[in-house]
Amino acid sequence: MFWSVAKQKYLLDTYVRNKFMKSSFTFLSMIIIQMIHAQDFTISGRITDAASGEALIGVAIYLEDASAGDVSNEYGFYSLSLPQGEQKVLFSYLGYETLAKSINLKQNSNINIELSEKSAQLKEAVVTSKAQDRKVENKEMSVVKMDIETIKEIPVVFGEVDVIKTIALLPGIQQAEGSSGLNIRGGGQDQNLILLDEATVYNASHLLGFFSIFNGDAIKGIEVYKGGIPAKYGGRLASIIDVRMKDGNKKRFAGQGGIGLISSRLTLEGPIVKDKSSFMLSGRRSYADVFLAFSKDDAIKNNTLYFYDANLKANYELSEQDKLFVSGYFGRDVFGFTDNFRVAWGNGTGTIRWNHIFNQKLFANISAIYSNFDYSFGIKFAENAAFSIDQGQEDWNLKIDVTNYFSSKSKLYFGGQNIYHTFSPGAFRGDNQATKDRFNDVVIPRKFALESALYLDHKYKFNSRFDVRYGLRYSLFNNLGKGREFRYEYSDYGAPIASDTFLYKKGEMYNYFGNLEPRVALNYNLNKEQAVKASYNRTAQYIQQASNSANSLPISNWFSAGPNVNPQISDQVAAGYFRNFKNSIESSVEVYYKWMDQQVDFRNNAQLFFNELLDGELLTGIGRSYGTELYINKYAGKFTGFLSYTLSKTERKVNGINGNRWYRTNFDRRHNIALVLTREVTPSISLTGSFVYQSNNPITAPTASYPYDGNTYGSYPARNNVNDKQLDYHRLDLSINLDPNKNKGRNYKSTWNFSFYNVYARENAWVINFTAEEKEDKDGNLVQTGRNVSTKIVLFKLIPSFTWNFEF
Amino acid sequence: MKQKKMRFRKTTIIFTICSLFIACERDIDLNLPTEEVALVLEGGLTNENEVWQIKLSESAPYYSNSYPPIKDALVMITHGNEIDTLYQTDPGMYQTIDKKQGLVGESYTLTIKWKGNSYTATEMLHDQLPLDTVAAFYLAMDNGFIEEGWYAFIGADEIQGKRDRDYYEWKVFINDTLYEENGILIDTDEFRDVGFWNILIDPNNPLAQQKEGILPRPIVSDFTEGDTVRIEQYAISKNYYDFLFGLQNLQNSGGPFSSPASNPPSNIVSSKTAYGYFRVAHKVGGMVVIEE
Repeated sequence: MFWSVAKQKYLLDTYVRNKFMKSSFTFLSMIIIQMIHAQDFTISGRITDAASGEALIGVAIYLEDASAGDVSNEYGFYSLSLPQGEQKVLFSYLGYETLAKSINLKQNSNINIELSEKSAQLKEAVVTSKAQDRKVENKEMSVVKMDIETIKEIPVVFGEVDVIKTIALLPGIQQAEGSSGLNIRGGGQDQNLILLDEATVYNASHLLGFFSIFNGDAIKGIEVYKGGIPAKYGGRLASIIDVRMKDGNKKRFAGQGGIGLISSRLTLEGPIVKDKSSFMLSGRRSYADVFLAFSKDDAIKNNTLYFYDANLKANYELSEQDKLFVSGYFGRDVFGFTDNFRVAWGNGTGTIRWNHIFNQKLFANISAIYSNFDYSFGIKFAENAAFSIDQGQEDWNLKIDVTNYFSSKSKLYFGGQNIYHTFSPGAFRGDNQATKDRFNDVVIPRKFALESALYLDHKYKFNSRFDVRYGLRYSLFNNLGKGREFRYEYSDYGAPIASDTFLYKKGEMYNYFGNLEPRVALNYNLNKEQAVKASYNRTAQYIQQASNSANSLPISNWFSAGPNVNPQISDQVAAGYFRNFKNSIESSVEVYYKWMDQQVDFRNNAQLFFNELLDGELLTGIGRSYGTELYINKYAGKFTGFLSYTLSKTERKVNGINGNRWYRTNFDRRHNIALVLTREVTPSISLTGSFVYQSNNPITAPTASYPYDGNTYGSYPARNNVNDKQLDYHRLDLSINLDPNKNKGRNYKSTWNFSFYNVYARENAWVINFTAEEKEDKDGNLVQTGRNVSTKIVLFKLIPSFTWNFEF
Repeated sequence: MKQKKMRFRKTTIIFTICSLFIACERDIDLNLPTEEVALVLEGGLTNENEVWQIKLSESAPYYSNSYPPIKDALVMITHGNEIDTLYQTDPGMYQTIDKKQGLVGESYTLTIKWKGNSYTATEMLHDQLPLDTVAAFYLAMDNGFIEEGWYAFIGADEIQGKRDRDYYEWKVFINDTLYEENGILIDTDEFRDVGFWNILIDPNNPLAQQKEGILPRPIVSDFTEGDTVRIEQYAISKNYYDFLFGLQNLQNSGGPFSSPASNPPSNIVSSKTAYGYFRVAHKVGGMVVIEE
């Protein structure tokens, strides 16, 4: 019954889908035809850094009277349609000299722009008139951006520059200590789409989450959409975390690197053909294992423990209109315990992009993207009993994004993408022939899916005060053969039993879901300093991580929607008030409310690892999250810094958990405060302090205890039921950056960073454990004392660190 | 006589990695909510001819470690038309008057009346084949997991073709004292074609002689030469297996990567909260004396 209805629905929807696809293609071709006939005078071109040739993203381009304006896109391209005649156009970007260009506009013109960084002396003096680059109207709401220079100033644990950890200081973004996962506006860690040069990064953590995989030297900047997500992006509920790699210096050969407590790094970049093409190569490796070798304990000595990563990027200018980018990332974590035990995981991504400028108003980019995450666990009992368990997932993604700059009032974005997913839930194999001779391989069949999307997104400026951006994304998810699916029955105690098996042929589309995802963002400028904004977006998510712990482990594999799993859906509304003060302070207040449907959790005692019947262990429910975010940023002057405050609440209601009542998620912290201040003491010394306060998150704690078979156990009738003031988290970090004066006359630069993490050594709880107390008896055996206790594990107390950095 | 510590090294990956960073561990007293006192049930019956015992006690706040016995309950075990009322020997200990034997394939229902509330639990007695072998071998390997020392092995056949799944619990006694350091010992053939235990052990080469995906299951313990090791194997229900698995999870819970703690599924049915399990299991056993 279930199946035949699904089949009918499938046939009907296939028909609808074909119609939808046909009509959207017709629509797209109409736009292209229209645009070819358009007749406006347009200036367009690319904006780059004068010293390095690096494309500058988000440069404000505007007329002096502010009657027209735009910002450069992620490739530094801009296009602005202007009235005929004499025009003074300004190009403005934070930290750079504003360029004013007078143009006598008689025809469409291609104008490439180079902007120079402000010199150190000017940085202080020339803050007065340059608030334009932070104009309130250009700010997208619910978007946070950080450039790598700011990120590098903020102290982090072990002095390891970390874009993910630093971004978590901004409002609406939370992170637990010792984790690389982010919880954005009440979303789970797997509800963030992390992109590195457009490629999905499935696990952004090194060393189980103590560090992120992003090497600061190879990164240009990071942008996080926590709401008002443009139709271009999709696939995750909560956010888009867009990390862009540096393109590489087009003017000269340059390098930078550093030696820190945890890792050392080296980045080389330079022109392949001067001003036309360049490359960037960056590598980083940790050396904790180097210290292990000094251990007196043989067991420790023979262990391995390291991570490394490499970023590379190259670009080539095929013509004035065509540009090719190739970029890739490869990283790996390896832990080995003697030669008997080995865990390794890592991401690999590759992106090939082709920018094409059809004409001054039509910019297109086509990307072919590969992304992979794999995890391997090896164990050796004996020479002929050595096994490994491998799992992972792989994506092939083809993506087209087009921007049509109709006029200074109207801009249309459209495009689509197709991702072919392969999930490998697990393979248990003998590692050598001797083992293979004795043991059979156990392989959970792979699963395949095609995730497609088409979008249209229109930005329209009614007048200098009011603009609107609205869009629609249609996402479509197909489960493909070869594969097998199950129908489940449940035992009296809720355990899944596969009652029917369905087999599908290779390439067979056996199940699908489609979702229309509308997005709207409104902006109204009250005056030059103030704006109010509002947005709505719906997002759909088709793949998720099998995890119900506070932190996701790499063994938590991803699985897709299918006959037994519905896609997750979220609706978010947000409103905000933005205000700039005195050309040096920007501030905003935002409120949001989010409804989430088909949220995934697992039944108690579910088997999440190496389980083909995983989708039978699922429980689904709904979620809601709401909050207020305050942000004040002083970005100019001797004293800079920001304050962010988030007041929020996040809850779930899942059938089968917590007696089917609402419960707070384990990352639900009511208050989050971060204060970061940087003071330039002298031109060569700057001090940064960062204070973080997070009120306690709920923990699942016992409400009673009872004996069974000689032991005692706690009773856990409820989920996340206990809050305790003692579990509040706070911490102060300090860092000193030294850029000695003698660097000025040299063609290389040597700088120091000293940092102190958790200055007052607050013993923040990482984990609370509830255990029966054990003591060693006189023979050294652990014996239960009969007392139940709770203990907290403290991860990091005061950690001083230093890093030496160089640049040439 | 050489005396060796023989148990699995408890070093797990996560623990080792974390220990590089963890600054400290501290006791912390939290303000925990409390709940109404609930009934706690332990005990049950087996296929052996013995007195059936049920132990009843009261639950306590988490930090408390005293569980007062329940002295005022009415306890009955029903099997078909047969009803046994258990009488109290010691405070909280209820037992049948005569020795009795549980029958394979039959269901038994426990009924308890306490403070005006009724608690029932029904469980079936599953069967199994007797243990072929209980043997002990000295393993000289040290590969990071198994330390050099004496290990006991069990060999048994499974009942083929009768059930898809079998669930087992073991209890190990050294010189007639229950050895508890390994915690709960349970296993199932759910994820393997053949159980760990249905092997014929070659005493000269216990690890190498295994064929086609069968590993012997060592019982890890503090055995020394001269010890008498007795192993009891219980065929248990899927639900009791899940219950014990849940308790095992509670024992090992904690850590940032563990699933949220929850109560294991009991077979007690009542409108009131109750903890524990009415255990009905098929018992076989074997013995070995450790000698060179």
